[in-house]
Amino acid sequence: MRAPPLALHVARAAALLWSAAVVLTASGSSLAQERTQAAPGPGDTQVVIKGTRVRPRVPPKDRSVAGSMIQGARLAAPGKKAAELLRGEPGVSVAETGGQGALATASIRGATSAQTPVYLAGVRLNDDVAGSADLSLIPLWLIQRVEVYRGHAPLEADQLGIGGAVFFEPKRPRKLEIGAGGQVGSFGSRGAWAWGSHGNDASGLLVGASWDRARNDYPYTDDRGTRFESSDDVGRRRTNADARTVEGWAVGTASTLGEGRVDVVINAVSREQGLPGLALIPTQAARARSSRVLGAVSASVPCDDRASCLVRMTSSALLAGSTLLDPLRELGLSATRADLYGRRVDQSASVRVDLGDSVTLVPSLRASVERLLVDADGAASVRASRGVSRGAMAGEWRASRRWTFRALGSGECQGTSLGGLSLCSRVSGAGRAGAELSLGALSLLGNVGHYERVPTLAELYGLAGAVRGNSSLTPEQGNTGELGARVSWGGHGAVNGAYADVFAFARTAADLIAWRRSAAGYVRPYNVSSARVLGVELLASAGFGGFLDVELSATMLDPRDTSGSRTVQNDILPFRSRLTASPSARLHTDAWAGAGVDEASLEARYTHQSSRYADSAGLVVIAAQGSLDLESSVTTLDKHLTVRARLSDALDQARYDIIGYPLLGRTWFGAMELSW
Amino acid sequence: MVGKRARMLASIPNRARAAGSTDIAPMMQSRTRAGAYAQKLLRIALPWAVRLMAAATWLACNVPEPDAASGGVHLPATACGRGVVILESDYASTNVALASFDGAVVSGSFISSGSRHPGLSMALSGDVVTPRERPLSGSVVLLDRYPNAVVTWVDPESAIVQAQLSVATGFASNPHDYIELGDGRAYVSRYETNPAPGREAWDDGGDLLIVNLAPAAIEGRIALSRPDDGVLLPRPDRMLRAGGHVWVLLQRFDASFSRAGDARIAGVDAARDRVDWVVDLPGVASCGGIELSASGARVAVVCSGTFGEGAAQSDRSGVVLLDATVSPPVETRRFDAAAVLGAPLAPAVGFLDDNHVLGVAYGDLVAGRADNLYAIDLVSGAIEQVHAAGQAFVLGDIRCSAACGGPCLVADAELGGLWSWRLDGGAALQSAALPVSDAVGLPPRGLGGF
Repeated sequence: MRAPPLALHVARAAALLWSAAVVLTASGSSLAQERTQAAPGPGDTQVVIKGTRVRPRVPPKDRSVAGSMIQGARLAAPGKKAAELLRGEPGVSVAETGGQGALATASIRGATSAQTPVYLAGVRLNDDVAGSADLSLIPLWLIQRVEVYRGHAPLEADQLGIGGAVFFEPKRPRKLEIGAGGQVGSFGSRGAWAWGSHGNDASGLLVGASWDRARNDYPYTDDRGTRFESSDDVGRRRTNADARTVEGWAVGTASTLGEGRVDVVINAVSREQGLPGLALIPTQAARARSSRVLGAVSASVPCDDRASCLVRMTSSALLAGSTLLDPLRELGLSATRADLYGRRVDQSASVRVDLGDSVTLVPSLRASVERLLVDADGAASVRASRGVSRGAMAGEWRASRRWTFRALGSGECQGTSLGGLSLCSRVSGAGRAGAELSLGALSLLGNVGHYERVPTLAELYGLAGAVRGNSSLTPEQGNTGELGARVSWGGHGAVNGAYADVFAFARTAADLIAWRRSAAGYVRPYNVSSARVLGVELLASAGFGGFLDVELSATMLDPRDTSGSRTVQNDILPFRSRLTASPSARLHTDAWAGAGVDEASLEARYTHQSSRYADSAGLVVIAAQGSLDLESSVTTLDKHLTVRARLSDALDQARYDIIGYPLLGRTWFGAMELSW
Repeated sequence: MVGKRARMLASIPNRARAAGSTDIAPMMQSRTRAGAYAQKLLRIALPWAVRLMAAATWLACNVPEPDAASGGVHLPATACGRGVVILESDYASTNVALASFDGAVVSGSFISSGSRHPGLSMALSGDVVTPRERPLSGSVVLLDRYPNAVVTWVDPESAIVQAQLSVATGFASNPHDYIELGDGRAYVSRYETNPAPGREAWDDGGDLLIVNLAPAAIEGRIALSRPDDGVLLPRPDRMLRAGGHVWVLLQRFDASFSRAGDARIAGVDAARDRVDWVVDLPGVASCGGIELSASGARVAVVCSGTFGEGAAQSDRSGVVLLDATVSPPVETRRFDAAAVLGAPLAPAVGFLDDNHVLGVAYGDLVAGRADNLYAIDLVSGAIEQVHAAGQAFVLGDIRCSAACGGPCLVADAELGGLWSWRLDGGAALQSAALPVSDAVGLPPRGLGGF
């Protein structure tokens, strides 16, 4: 069946948006009038400005670099996966392989997912087996905000990686509150969660647990491998793709020693799922069990009374394990069972020192030890470990009212070994320098940096019979520079404010690790290639009339393979769209309180990705694709009850990121949450 | 005006407001200037940014489509067929070129992975081989092994795909070879055995699938497993016709490829679609190369040994010579080329003439050993390395047309071309490097006939 032309999709999307606008415009108009009225008062300074201003989405850990932040209602949309949330963010590329629970990875500015560290509650999730973080293991229900640092990672990251960093930060307890909710959706999606918190600005505790499952038996067209012969195409449903996940959170915070603070975060997740494999040859019995426990304790203590010095210490641990069961050998692992265990312990300490009004220094030390165990039937066990120690210094010099200069440098020592533990066998450096020119509402930013990525343990030592290591690999190296502007405007008349963030960047990478298949059938990594990526990123938003917010996120990439050994004519890097654009419109109102509706909103977001290659030779073109998502929420009973609905891929456009792994089409979700 | 001033005041931090009007005034002026800057910038820059983005979107959003195919060829028919099929691949995608027997490329991109947009699968995956034996129908036949498991027939003159047939039957059957029988049928050897059969017709695997050519359809199978297999699977690989039978090489690995039995050849009577005989080759394993001499009297079988055995792999690697004039065939001589060359042998093999065989020995990525090309004098037994490649796993298939006086062509991925080898009158080897078309630039690895 042929997909409808893009024009038809756009027309349908416009019709849906228009219908939504008609529903909310009447109340929105009255609200707008209310918000522009000056409240009666004794003088001008008593004027009350109501309404929501459009706020810049600048991530807080480091405002001097290109980045964006997601928070609020977008995180609460039912059935929304972390990968779906990041798709369309400036600079971010996402690769999904299926429905709920299916492997999904993210990468930034044309980097690889192994070059892009992903953090949950400050703990890096990228394992050292493949180097990638699985976004499907990041449930969003207790996440406060997502921070994306596109070119340069903040000091809080344990890897100052080539591909920036993504942080998922959990909610913090602020008040006495309990809540519970449930969710239903297409393809057997069900979920339930409950949480309770107690606390205030000084201290608090939040605990929560969630359960969800999905059959993921969504339809797709099976072309049976015969692309030249469409008469044998058949419609099928995904099989053996079900997933069940249980997750628990505990977040505690307490004030101590005056201005000091201690934070504790524990997250545990366990999943059992089918591994459906390629849809062309779906599996019947391949299953996986995975679990992960992470915990972090951080303490901040001021070292003087003037708050000009702050010591921060963080300890974290990550325990992760997964078992692959493949009794029918459908996954091509050459084993019927494989067990992978990883554990990492990390300790860091930093001191923030203000030297007068104009200079701030943050020296820091970090040390971590990671161990990896891989046992597979019929293959030699892998016992590998890595020790990393790092000294870093970040500095900021506010040279004048307009000019601020920042720098970050780090020296790192890594030791990787099979069997034993090597704490330091290789020294590397990373760093960046940047400047910011503030012209009131306008800021101009520029940064340059150099980074490295150490090969993963799998790249060095292999995994199983078919994946062989190469212990002579050297780290990937990357240089990046960016120039950007941020401008915000408070608004006037019916405009509630506007914000724009534009960055242009260039990145070169050398000694990139690529996998080569040998004629004998196994793969082995090499330092073979180099790449150059140029790009422009835009994030702009504006609010109108107090009831409509619009936003445009767009990324243009020019990713090129610059390897001297390249033989193919094509030099455009595969799996990277040269344009990703994500416009959205959100209608919201709190003018229906008289009718018992405290807040209501409707959001439409269309994410478009231009075509991309799926191979280095540039022969296989994944066509341009897009998805329209509709989200709505109604809060009532004095904001104690929230009902949410979401229609994902409303136009049912066929999509895939990796050939052979079709993604969910049109999918609906509904959720209800009660909090008190 | 009042409203604007009020909003400005509301946006001033409390501390500043508390400091009094004398401090507020310059701050307000500064804010006003900043706001004016911002508004001016938005007024000027935003329309240009929108125009720029729109233009860039229009010009550069999608990646260029691959170049159009170079089309079919008209080459004269000979006793050896019309020409040579060159498979270029990086194991991610595939381009197919056509060449004359002397290696001159006549169609640089006859068909490729880019000939159709992908859907659930690619038009051609990165794992495509051609039949060892030239199809009698005259079509260019491609076997898309994993994951597609598809046979594709292409008209060499028009480059139009005549038919496609999935031979997956519900599992990754991994077809390894195809041989036309001359009666409107063909056999397809399926390397994998289905661990959970019974859901579709003919879904057992580890067999020869009997395929009707017009219309393309599966009409039966010939099981190749034997009662004495134990944990070993038949894993049928390459085939040839000799002495009135279709010979099928059985690699006999277990499911995890950690164990391999002695190599075995099954002789199939194509008239009755049944196995008439089996011949075991004790002491050698993983035999993937089989070639018939121009006279039809000799068959050379090349065995690689078991990869999982490390250095001991070479112990079960070698070249076995069989007498094809008797049925079942009889082993006449064995050449321990792996021991002489210090490397296990790749399955590529060809007859330079009835008394000389050309083959490839594997390199080793870890040891830094490169592939090399060897020649065996079947009369004297002399084994000689005749060419060293630049690295491991770059030498691919060998395709000889000695029966028509043509050379042996050897695919070299590192060279990005072919080597042409032939014997001069005095049995001395001569070689020449031949470029292949750089239309796509994928390295040549496989060779077939049409």
